[in-house]
Amino acid sequence: MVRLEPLWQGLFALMNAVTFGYIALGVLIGIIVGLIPGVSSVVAIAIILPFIWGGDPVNSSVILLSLVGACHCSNTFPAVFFNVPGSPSASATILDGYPMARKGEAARALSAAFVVSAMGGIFGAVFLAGTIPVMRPLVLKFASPEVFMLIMLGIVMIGTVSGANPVKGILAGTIGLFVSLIGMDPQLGIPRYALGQAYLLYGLSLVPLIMGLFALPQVIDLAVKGRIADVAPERKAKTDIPGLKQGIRDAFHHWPIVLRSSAIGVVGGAIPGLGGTAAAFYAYAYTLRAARDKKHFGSGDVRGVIAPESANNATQGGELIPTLAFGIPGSPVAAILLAAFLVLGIIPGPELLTTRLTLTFSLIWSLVIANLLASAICLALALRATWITWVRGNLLIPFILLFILVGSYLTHVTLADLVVTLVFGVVGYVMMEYRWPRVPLLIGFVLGGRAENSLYISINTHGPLFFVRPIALVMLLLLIATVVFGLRRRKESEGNET
Amino acid sequence: MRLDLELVFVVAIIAIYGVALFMAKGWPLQTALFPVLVSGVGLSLAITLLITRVARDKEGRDSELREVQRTNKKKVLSGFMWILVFFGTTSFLGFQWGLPGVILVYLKFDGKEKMALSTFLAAICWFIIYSLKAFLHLPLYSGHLAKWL
Repeated sequence: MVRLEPLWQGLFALMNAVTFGYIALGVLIGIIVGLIPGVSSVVAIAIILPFIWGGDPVNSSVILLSLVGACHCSNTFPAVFFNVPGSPSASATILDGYPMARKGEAARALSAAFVVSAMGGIFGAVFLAGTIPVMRPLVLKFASPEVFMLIMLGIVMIGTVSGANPVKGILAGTIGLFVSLIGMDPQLGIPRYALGQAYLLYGLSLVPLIMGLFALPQVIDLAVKGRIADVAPERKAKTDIPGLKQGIRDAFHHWPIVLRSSAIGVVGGAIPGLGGTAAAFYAYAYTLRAARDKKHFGSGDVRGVIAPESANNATQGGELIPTLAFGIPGSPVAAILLAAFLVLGIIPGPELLTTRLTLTFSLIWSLVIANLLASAICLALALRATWITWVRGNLLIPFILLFILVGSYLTHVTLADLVVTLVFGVVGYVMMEYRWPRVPLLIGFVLGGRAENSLYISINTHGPLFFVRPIALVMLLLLIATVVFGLRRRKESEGNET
Repeated sequence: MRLDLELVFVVAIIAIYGVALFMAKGWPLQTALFPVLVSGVGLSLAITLLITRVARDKEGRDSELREVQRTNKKKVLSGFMWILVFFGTTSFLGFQWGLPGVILVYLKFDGKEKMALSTFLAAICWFIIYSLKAFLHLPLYSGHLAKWL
């Protein structure tokens, strides 16, 4: 029999001015952090951890969870306005969010994103609350062979669907995997492709790569076009209330996409190593595949914003499943949260699911409240913030470059990060100019290390035929089918052209 | 065959993957397995792409190239130049003084903005960097010049 008392006790524990103040503080910090590209919630938690050290476990942990929740919400602003994800989990949002801003539909994109962010966040929290006792067997089914095949399937799927030419997409994915190889081999510590540079021994970091690949080409684009929005500035659009309302309607109209993407987000978050970024891309790819009318995807389709935003907010709940239940962090954010929980005396494991269940539910409730609060604040900001798309590029470029430089430099506090940003800026520009999808490169880089480890463990544990395990085999067949269908689709579209 | 940036990009990928495979020859199997797998697949795809491209050029078909946005080369080059100036000035004069300085110059000369607005925005930039250093204690670089002095 399921006891419901801890569920309400967890909520009542938060219902006091002090704790609510902590949630509001966490949300505020999270919104600011999400707005600054390159400063992730991991960095923010690391910065504020010394200030909450030794504090009340409930109050201190709700600040952190609220921060993470709000960061997932506000990172949509730079993604939509500047084609720069505020944090990696908003990377998939730029695919359609930015084109919408260019079409003058920034308010619609933002309001849809914030409403579905709240929905996704709540879905993730509800799922977390409901599945903690039954999640363990499912998570344990995903051993290394399944994780490896899932990563490969993800890269191929995203590479196939995110551009006109699947060969370019998959090739971009291999470039991402290759770039992730730079540095010391994780098994034997042998330097690979480090070119004798000490900086490269530790591998490249995500922030300079993402800044170069997405943000610098955007600066060039802005310099060429003059402003973010392609359409002529209209006075009425500066307070685009119809757009805002349309976005809210879109969020409710596309509720099946929200539900499906949130489910993908929860599962993606629960599988260690995948996390919000990958889940958002999976949700995007799935929505694209499932859509009857695909032609607007990539050029400003609201469904392309709804899917990743629902997924990346739902991952917060999913990520906490292995973190709280087994002490296995599902992502870098969950890893630093786990460290913070340990510092605060919250020991993940059976205790949190039995004797300290009220605390667990308090954490889950704080996630729900933070998501609602952050979405409401961001929605209120969205109306006024859309004016930014019509600001002259000359005035925006210096500030985008300021954030690019600061964000890249702070990764390792070395100028070499700026060089990496510049190099990937050139690569990103060439890819953008010749319509190569950049997202598979990014996802390949993000998942490369995990893929190699999984491959190594799979071969050691299950031999070279590790992929014949049932789930892994299904994924392999799906991968082959994705490539075949992608190439067929390409051939058909070429046939139509000629 | 038309020589453009995309062709150079594909040839560079082929060269990099070729070198990567060659370098992996000297590594133990554990170290080399994944790089060989990735480079092998990447090399095959890049060669396929190059062959397709050559075939298309021979047939005179350029449907993909037609899709490419023809952008203003002068503006693109100027954009890259300014990015280099931003990066260079920051490393030479540091974040605190280099960035506001270059923003002022950029807004005044490239943006053709009024002096008052340019100075105001440069001051905002200075304040943002000052706040990041003073309140968040972020270790922002103070520049080669400060080091030499």
